[in-house]
Amino acid sequence: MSDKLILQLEALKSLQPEAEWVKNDKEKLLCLISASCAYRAEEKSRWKRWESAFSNLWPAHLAAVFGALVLILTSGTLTVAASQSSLPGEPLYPVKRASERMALAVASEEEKPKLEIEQAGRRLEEIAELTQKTSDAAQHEKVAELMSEYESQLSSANDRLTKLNQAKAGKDVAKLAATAQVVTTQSDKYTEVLKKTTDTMPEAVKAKVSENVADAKVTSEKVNVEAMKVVADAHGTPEVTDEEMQMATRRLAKIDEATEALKLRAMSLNGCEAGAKVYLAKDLEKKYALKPNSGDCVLGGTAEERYRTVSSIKEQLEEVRIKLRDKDLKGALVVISTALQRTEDLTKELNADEEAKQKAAEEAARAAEEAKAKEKETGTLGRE
Amino acid sequence: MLPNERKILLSAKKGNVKAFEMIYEEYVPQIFRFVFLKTGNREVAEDLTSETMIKFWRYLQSNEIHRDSAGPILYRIARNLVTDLYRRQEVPAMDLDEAMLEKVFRKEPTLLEKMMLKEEMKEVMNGVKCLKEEYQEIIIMRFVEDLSNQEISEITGKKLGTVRVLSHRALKSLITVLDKKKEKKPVRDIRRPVGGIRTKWKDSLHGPRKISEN
Repeated sequence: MSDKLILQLEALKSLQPEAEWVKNDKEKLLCLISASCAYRAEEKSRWKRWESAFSNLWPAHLAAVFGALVLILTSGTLTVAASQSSLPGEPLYPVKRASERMALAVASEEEKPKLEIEQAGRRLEEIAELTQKTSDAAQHEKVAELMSEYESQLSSANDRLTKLNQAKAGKDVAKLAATAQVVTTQSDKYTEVLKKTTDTMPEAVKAKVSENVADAKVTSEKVNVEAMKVVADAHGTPEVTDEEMQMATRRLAKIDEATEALKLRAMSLNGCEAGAKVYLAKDLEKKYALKPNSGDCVLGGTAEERYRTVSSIKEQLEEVRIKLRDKDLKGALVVISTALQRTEDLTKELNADEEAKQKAAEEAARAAEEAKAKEKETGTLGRE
Repeated sequence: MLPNERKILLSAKKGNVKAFEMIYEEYVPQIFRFVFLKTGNREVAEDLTSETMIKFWRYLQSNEIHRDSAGPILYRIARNLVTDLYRRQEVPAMDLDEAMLEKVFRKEPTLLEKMMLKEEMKEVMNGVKCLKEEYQEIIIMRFVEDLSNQEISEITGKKLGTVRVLSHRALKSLITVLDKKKEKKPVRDIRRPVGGIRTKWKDSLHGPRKISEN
């Protein structure tokens, strides 16, 4: 027995890794190794070259410092200037962003919001340019990233404005008002530009970035309202210009538009189509006279909750309308900003809801697939 | 083992890729077999073999080499990797089906290998998997790879005498396991077969058959 077993064990030597695998794995490994070797060799030789070039003139480290200084002084301004038209993914783009950050760091507190708004405008320009280039495969990712950059720059401008407005002591009020004026006009422009840009986007990209766009829209409105508040505070209540009234009305229309979109999203949570007549489950429970037809939409659960929030925001907007009619700009702006805050929160909630819904759908699909596979398995077993 | 392996090792340490390639080609089949027989899963064996070679390269770069052969270091690395795998409780599923065996066994078998039936080999492989860790290693190194007791003692860190004893015990244990599987009989003591022919009695009274040492 044991002799035979020893022979058998010896024969196990014929176990071999697949030749194909060995070849691939070896190549991979050798490539890894030779790359690390090459890197080390290169590092050494580069250092030696520097040393030999300067050793008879100066000590090596002095030479390095001098060289770096020359480089910075001669090429810095040129590089920054050249970088200004660059797009994400291009080598000079980080230089552009760094120069922006630098400008922001040295600006005075009152002017920072203005700078941030300008920089956000550049993000919008970049988005427009990127969407015109159709060849880029990772386009939508870059657009989404830029969109969230735009949004974060706006919201940071918004925070700054709020803070400045609350603590005006020792600040240059006239300068602040001027800044806020620029912010209002610019952000008003941006909402239009953003709309146009998203309209001209390729469908595939549009679908991917729709969430970011919705966020960005709300933030644009917020910063605009905040800036308007600053302006209204600065020049006192009595005189309200026509321009300001128009601006406020436009905000109202925009928020109305946004809430309408949110309403549709809330409806689609329960699978309802746009234009269907909406009934709420709790209303149906209370009022027996209400009887939905087959084409009508009945909302229950979270969808119902969201729908109710939208309705109450709409009521607030009605309030704003009345205040504007009475030329109470300040009061209107206060209500608008709370309505906006609620819109923003609702957008976030809806995003989370939709994500959860999608996840649940995926899980259900997977479970169904597994069940099918199991059924198949038991089927084949039965045949055997 | 390669001729002049120490020289090759030192050259690989200095970053000679060609030298490392020689070591790779020499040892990859052995390490693969070692891991495969221990885990019974081809994909896992491939992954761990690959990892072993990478770790070996790093070891070469950062350690002084006093040995004449890469074998002990490689086996030790592979051994630790398998242990880690089991410690993480990621016990791989056995995949000893026909298609896999076709892939794993050499395309042009030697005469000896031709004589052995695939089915029997599979049984032996399964038997090896049933042994305890310590015995598995000894069986693979001693009888499959033909390593000397000295080498095994270096790899496992056990004394030479212990290795010798262990290899006898491991083989015995494997025979028991295979018997049990084949005949589905209760385990019997190999040295005292009940009711065998007289010659067998005699044979077995002299203790287990000696295993040639080379």
